[in-house]
Amino acid sequence: MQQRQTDQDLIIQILEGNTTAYAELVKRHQRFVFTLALRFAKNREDAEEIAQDCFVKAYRALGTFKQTSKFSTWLYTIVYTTSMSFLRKNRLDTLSLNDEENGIHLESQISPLNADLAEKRSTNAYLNQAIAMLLPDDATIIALFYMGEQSLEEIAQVLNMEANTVKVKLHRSRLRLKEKLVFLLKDEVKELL
Amino acid sequence: MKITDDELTQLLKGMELEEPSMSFTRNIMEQVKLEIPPVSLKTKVDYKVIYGIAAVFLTAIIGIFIYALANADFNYALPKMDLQVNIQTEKILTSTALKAFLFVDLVIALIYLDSFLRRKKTEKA
Repeated sequence: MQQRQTDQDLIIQILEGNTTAYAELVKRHQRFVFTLALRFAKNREDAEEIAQDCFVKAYRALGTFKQTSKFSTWLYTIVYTTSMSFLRKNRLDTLSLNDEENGIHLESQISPLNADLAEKRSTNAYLNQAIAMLLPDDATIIALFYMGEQSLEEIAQVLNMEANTVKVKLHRSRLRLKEKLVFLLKDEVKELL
Repeated sequence: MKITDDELTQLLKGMELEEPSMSFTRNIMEQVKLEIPPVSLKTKVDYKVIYGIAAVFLTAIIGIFIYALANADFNYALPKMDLQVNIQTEKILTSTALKAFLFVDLVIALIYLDSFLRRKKTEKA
């Protein structure tokens, strides 16, 4: 049985000239990178463009990757900076990382989910909708911690901040998410009645 | 309506990742093909070069040392030193001073003997 190659092995192969090995690296990380980009872009087309741009940027900079951290952590840093640039370019109002109080909510920019009614009513769909209502930074921290399985230290590296700050931000993001989820589910109960 | 922390954690952990389009990887690989292949920026260490430089330095140091030894003059004479010490010992070493010195010595010897005998006594006990 062939043993699964690590990210490290694939990077070495790419740097030695086997560029096709990059396809495997893309396949491994594309789902999370796309999900993370979707937290910023809010529509699939833009998210896919951001995700593709991130992978191309990562390929260009692969020679500078020091391999002192996980490849995923390094890649997510690229995703975060690219997504933030995308938001700035599209003149979307974003919240400063250090400003907790001046929240600008993105509800008005959220398009209703196009899924069918059954899916809409599923908890997962509501959770996605609630996350989409959060600020990009909050959504990113939640996505990195619960879906990207990144530690607080790794998230701190991605967002370029202290691990303790990330811990506080994660707690606040959870509270905000809970509020949004309760709000959405309350509406759902009313709808059913 | 209330959601507990545990419920929220369970919901978040159970979330599924979004799937990009089927052509996602292909599109990236097409763009990647147009790029210059990445090269590791880590400097490759050639140990032959390092050992070569070390050998040159060692040879130079040993050569200089041998040359220095070959040309050295080992005939060395200690410089003459004429110390003019003129102390009037008769004035310092008087018989009273000598007696006082010997008396202090005797007292110190008696103290030491006393402590020695006490130690022996305690060891026996």
